Amino acid sequence: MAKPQRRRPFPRSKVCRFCADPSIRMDYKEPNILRAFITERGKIIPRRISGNCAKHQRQLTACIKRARNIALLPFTVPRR
Amino acid sequence: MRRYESVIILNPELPDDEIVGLTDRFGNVIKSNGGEIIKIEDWGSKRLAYQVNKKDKGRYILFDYVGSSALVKEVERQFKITEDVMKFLSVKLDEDVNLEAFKAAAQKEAEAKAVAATEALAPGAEESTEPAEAQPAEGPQVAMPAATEQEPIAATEQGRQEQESEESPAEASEGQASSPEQKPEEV
Repeated sequence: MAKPQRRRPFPRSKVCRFCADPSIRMDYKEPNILRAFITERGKIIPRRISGNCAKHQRQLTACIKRARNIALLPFTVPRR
Repeated sequence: MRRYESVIILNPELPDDEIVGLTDRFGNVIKSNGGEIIKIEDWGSKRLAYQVNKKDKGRYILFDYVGSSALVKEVERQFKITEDVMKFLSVKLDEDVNLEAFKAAAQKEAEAKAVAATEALAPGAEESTEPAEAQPAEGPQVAMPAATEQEPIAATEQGRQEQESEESPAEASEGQASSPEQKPEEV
């Protein structure tokens, strides 16, 4: 019987990039900044992987959703 | 008074003069309903992330204005009844804006610009640094994307790959169930 193996924590960047560099301004009008935080399928990358702090992840989520609404970011990227 | 911002996407096939006409029309709607325009930006024709009205491109216009909630309602109504507006999004930027202070700041900026212009004509004073000071607010923001864009992508991609390689031997079935789209080669 396979023992449930303890999952090793996968590497993540520990610092929130928005905290580390306050000059980055998160804005739904800047899809190029936001694009760094979505997968190639268009999903929002979770905090545990991107390493964002809770506050900035919340802001980021709102920004990405706004950007999606005005077609600056995709809702989904269909598989070809 | 609150500060709002509306981004609209216009039909990209419209000729430029019609775009200007529509922009003016919406600007007048804002003014005639007790609003004050801070700026109007034309971002030009941009590629859309997904098709809207079966079109791949859209003409983005940004309105930045101060007004009441009733004004936003009216502006959005105008967007809705205009067929060439394919999409719009209004966002509240600031809860409580003092219009007078805003106008004063704008006036100061205009004066500084005028001073700078005259200084430029008659060269050699400290004031010539003023326009350079007025702009940096935008400087780092614009310069940034190129510098930081690639780093996080590389980081997250690496993270995902390592995550995948860890999962696949021991828990292939679970990995497949929970994240089928991350492993296209197995499907």
